Amino acid sequence: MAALPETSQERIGFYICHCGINIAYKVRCPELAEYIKTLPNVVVSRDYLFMCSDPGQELIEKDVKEYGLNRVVVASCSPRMHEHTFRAACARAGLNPFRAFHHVCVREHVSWVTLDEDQATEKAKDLCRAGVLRVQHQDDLFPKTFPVNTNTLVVGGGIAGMQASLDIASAGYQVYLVERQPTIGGHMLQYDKTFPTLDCAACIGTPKMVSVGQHKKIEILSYCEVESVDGFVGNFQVKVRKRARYVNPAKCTGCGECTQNCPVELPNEWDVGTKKRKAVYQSFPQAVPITFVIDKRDRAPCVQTCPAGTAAQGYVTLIREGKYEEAVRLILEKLPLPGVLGRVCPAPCETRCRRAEIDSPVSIRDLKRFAADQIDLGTFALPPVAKQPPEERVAVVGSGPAGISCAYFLVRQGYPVTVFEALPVIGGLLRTGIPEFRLPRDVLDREIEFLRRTGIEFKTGSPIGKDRTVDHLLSDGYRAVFLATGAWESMQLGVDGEDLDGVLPGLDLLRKKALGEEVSVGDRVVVIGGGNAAMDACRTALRMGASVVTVLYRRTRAEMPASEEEIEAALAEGVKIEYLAAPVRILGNGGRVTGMECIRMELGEPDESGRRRPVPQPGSEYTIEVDTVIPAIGQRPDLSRRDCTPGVGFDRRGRVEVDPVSMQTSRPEIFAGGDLYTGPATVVEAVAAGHEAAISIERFLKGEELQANRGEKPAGEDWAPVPAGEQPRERAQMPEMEPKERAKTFAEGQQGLSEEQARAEAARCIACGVCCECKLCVSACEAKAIEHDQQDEIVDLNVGSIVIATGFDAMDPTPLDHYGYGRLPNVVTNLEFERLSNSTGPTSGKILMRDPQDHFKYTRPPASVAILHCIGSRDKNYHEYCSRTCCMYALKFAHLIKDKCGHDTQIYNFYIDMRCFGKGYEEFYQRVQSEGVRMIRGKAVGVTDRAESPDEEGYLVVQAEDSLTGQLLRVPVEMAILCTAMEPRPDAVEVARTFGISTGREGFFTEEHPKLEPVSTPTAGVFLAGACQGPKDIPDAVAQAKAASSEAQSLSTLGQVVVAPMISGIDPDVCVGCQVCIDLCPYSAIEIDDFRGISVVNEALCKGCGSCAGYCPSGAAKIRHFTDKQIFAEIDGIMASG
Amino acid sequence: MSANEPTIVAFLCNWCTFTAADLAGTSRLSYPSNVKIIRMMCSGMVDPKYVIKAFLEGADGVLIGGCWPGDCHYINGNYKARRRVALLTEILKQFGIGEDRLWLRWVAASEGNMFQEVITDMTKQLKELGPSPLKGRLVA
Amino acid sequence: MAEFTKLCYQKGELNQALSEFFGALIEQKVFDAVLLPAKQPTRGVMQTLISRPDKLGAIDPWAPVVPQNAAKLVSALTASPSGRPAAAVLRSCEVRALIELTKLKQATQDDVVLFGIDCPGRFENHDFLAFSDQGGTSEDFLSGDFKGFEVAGACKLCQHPVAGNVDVRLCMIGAENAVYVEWLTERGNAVREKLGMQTEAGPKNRDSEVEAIKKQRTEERDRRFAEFREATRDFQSLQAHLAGCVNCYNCRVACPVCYCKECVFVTDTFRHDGSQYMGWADKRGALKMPVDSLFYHLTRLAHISTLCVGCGQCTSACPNDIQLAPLFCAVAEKTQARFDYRAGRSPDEAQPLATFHDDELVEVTGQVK
Repeated sequence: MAALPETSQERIGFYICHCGINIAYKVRCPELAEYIKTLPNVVVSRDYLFMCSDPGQELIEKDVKEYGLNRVVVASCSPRMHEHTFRAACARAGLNPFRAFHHVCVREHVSWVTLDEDQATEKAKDLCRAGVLRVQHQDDLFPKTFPVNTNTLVVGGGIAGMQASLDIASAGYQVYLVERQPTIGGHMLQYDKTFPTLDCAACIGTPKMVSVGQHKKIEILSYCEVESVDGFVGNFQVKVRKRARYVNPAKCTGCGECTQNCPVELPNEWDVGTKKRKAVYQSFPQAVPITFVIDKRDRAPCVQTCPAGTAAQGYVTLIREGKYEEAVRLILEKLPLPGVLGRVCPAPCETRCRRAEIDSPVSIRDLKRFAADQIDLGTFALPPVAKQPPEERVAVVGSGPAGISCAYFLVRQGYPVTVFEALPVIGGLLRTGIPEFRLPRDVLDREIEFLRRTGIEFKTGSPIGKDRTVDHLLSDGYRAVFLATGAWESMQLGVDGEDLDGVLPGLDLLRKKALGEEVSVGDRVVVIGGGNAAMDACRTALRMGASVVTVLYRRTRAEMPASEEEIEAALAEGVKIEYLAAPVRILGNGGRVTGMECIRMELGEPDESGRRRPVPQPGSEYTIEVDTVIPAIGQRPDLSRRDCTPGVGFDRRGRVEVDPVSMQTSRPEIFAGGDLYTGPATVVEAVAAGHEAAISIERFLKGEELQANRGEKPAGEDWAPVPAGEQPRERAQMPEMEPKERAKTFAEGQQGLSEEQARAEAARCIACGVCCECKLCVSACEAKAIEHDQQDEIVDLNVGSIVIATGFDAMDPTPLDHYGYGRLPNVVTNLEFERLSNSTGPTSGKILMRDPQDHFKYTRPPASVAILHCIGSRDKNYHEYCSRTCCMYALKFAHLIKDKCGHDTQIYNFYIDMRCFGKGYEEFYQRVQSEGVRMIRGKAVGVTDRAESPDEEGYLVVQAEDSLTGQLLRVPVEMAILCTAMEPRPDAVEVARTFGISTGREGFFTEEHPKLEPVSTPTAGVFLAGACQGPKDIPDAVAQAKAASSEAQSLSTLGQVVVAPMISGIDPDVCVGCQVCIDLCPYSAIEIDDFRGISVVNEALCKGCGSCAGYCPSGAAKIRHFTDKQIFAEIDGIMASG
Repeated sequence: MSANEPTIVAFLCNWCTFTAADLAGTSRLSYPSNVKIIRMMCSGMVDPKYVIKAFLEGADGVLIGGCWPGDCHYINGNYKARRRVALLTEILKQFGIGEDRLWLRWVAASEGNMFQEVITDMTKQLKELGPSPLKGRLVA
Repeated sequence: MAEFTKLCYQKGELNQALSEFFGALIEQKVFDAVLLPAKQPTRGVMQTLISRPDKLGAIDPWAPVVPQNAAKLVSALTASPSGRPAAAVLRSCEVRALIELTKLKQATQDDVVLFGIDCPGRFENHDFLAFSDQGGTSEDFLSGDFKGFEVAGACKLCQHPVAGNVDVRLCMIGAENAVYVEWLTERGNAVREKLGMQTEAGPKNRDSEVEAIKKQRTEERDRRFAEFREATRDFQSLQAHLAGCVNCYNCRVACPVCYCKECVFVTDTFRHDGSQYMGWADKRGALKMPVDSLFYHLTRLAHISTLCVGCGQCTSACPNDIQLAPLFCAVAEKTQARFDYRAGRSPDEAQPLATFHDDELVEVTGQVK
């Protein structure tokens, strides 16, 4: 149908490419060309050997001129290959290439995948017809150009990243080099020598690091990670998370004094765990930058759980080191009463201790008590006090733990504080509510005396109440008041007979006993309640001479709120506990208690506390004979408190109303906390409340915002892993008096841990947070470079191109159990061997065997070594690919062992086949062979220490089949080196997503074309370098880095990029302004034009994904070059024959 | 194509499934010639109209190929495609075009072999199913 | 707890009672105007925007006719808002359509207080004219006195006799010779306070009567859907169902949620060249014209079945009596269920095609990495 109808504007030229024989061997090209010629508007239809060749392109240009073509369709390879080639040809011929050209794929999608020639030809006809129909609906499009930001981001500071950075910077462009580790260098700097030239990695690597570090155009962002990338080629916006180093790089001199003092040790990643480092460390001595870094994870669970935020991991670590004074000093940062809390704290810290994953929690509370008991508070140096103008006096009402704590923290900030106490003694419920056998008076007295020394003024016998109110205090010149009067009034049972003689509330008993007042109990005592107060009361009654003490509790043991150890102690001392029973009435005679009527309970539905509600069983009443009844069912604040603080709100249970964060009452100058606010709670919670109030009061006095940066404590679970191979060890127990003995006396029942016990117990800590925040480094650092309160920062970068050089990981061979790695101490990985051989490694460069008893100790050189190739590579179960470097470094290892351990050392290489393909590689192979290294062709199938003959005794036996002789071999050696696979980084998929690139089947990043575009990616402006793209050795990585840097430089030098015009356009006449497309657009590229009430595309942001067009029901939103008409035409074309 | 050979119209995302089809080609992985590919920039670009049109023109099957969840070159286009396919399925199956004829599949750029499998599978199933009820519907 | 105010009326004075109520609203300057059905001077009942109390005499909210789904009228009134307060008296299907249009930014509710009326259904337009020509009144209709006439098919299936998401509701289900005004929202109660109206409990049997109506309609709906689905199990029967279609597009003009300014089917996309028609004819030997009817209806299902409120206006608008409502309603039931969406249920739910989640609909591909 070459004859053109007069009316038609369309003049189409069609070209089918033979691609040599690639297409023509399946698609009958001349027949196809003949067929297409019959379609409407087709003026020329030709087949040609190579359309992409110059003559092929010229053919198009010539036809356009000769036949007046205005549309061109080429059927050849994939458009991803040559679309732009032919577009350019059309442009040269004077046509708008987007309007004029369409590319049909008949090679990848037809000839290469279709077996039958007829079918291939028919399919090609369908596709070409679709293309011919489509092209007639295409429109003029004009690509936009955008300026290019000449800055380049290089991700990864290994040899590839360093080389790319240097090349780009040397061309005069700014480079930001982001490295996740604290130092640049990468794997290459971990190695000893490099094949085949045997120059030392450090000798060629460290100068590179220094050049990078000193280059004016390179900014190293080490210990950093790229969080997000926005924008497009030439115009990327990158957010980089700068992880807190906790060491100020401007001040750190790299002297290393900090590490000398750091008590936390863990395996050094740089040395692949062959050597230890401290929590504050430098990866290796030549690190760039030299700045040290503190490995600080999320705070340990013990610290996170402590209401007062005590640095539990820190003081435990210091105790392990025998630094008791430092330990107490650290405790005093958060707790004014270490000896008290070391005895009475319910230790919530221990409930989440991760040591329990190995055996049982560390005995953190007992360790605190131990440390406190080791020092003499009488002479203990006072904590540092801030300098303040001493005008602003603060009053604290109540000398319990909350009041004491508030006073203590205020005094430390330099404020004069007076504590008003109604009773003649200091300590509140610590003294009047906790019996002596749990908290000896001298411990409490010593600590209170110490607090007095810090400057707190205590006024006993000074009640603040109806007669002397808070307002009096304020008019006396106190600028702020903290109310902490506690909750020490006993709750009533509410049964008949409660007023009888012989009924003695638990708290009254304890208080009277503590104050030395007259008080006694009878012979048969019943205590009612299941909390700690009930336990204290029953044990006190026992010690006061009662012969039968029974506790009555209305639920079961499982619901008892008292702590387990208190219950155990009471039971051991002879207390009886009667569960599921409650009092009905107290019976009396002549005003005295004689007995009690009780009723049995059963558990019903759960109540609002979540515990099952006790329900009385009618008819189960029974009577017991008693002479003393001690109710201990709960406490509450003294209701008369309200009188002393006019204007401050209280709830109906007598609890003060405060802001839960600032502890401020409705009167701004009055703060309150402790049991008065929470109702009965633990000592450590009271201390925490006192501390919070102290912070608020200081801010209040300074006129600062009370709420800022408070509230939620930092939480998180990024902790050090529980160390593998750690053996279970028993938790330390404090020596204890026999229960029967201790029930006779008020002396403390438990003696503290011995020093030996304590340090061993502290050594059970697994250092969850790594850095324990003991702050010893702070005092050690003369440059004052340590900053423990640093935060992660987000740095915004604008760059035009990105080079990704994130490298590889060496495979962990532990899962290949038959090689014994992890079980057999002298089976080592290639990377471990590199560190052994490296002069900065654990043995200063000597190749030594590992002591089977101590992972970090090395003994003597091996007399025989096996080197096992292809561990995890060329293995269907792990990685099918060849890791490409192993053969060569295995040869290098052989040479190094001969060199360092002596030429009589026996060396065996077990290989599948030797791949020595590089320049000088084969020669190196020859040389190593000539050094007497045994080469055994056969993959080693296992390594065992089970001897089958006497000469295997004490050796590692490598099993293999020699595939040249067909013999099964057992080769005894002293050391075996596993040449493990090069793997993609475990987070390669996330990294790929961040940068909008993709990973291949094996997980390495995919280049745009395996041969012709080895460093580009499908995302324009993002380039690949080094082993992140696939296993490669140093020369290849460097070459690719240079290629990637050249791509980045081209972009920068050109100064502008052309962006494909296939983006969205919204027809203003059709758009009705529903705005659905705005929410669907992933790039926020659509905005509403309020004036016209329609949506408008921001062409600089649109990437042409078509989310809008795929929705828009009226078709107002369209992607240029992918319009409905164009797609419909393709469908019509495909289906025309069907 | 002869009457008992089903036709599959495939709308493939340029970045993954289209590339996988290219890879299947370069790897010479053969599969039935029943599939006819239309290149899209993203599965999220596939307007439900295209699918309806393909069926009305007599396609026996429609395949939409997108990137795996989380891997979309345009962040989340594939999730939108998934909703639209779910919607179309609910509509079309009422009239006899079920899930067995409308396929959405995730095929990554590196999964040339999976592309081969999907096409082989789909062709086989469509053959068993017989021609689309819409084939030749406009014939008088 | 809902609060009601009872408006009593004598037989034959329902509209008068209502006009007094709405008159008070305008006189007290609560609203500048009220949009509600009113008798037209010559014949018929249309939605009318009334701003003067003396014009309220013609109102007839329960006239059994809905000439157009009034969501479109509220859209016209508010898409570009006047800033003046108005009340709109709407049936449930109108409110639900309005909610969808509001999500699509085609209407606003800032200036409009919504009065929902209990809906016993409506007639088709021609039936209503005949009914009223014979002297039938709204009160006759409400009391069930309309022998020889039938409520529209869509209404027999409607699950929503009571309008949700309104500020005030005019209730007649369960009431006798009275309309109960139910004050539902803060805005509704503000209206009540301005009128100084007292409240009392609602009609005693209202809830059970509503349930009874729903139950009856559910049974009817399930029966009809089953029937319809059976009848359109394949494309051939679908084509038979749509046989009279002449591409007049009245159904989408009448559809309250077909919100495009210009339907894609009247744009260039569907303007085919002569060669295209010839090609189609060549391929099959014969081409039914006009083309694209099935394409049009299927695309409309894809575009708006998730938003369909089941008002039945498509059927009413069809010049060739194609039963489009059961087609749309039956498909909509499935498509809305797939996304756990109900058109008009809540103003806060995102429309199914306007949102997406990463962890949903895994069964579509059945592939898990």
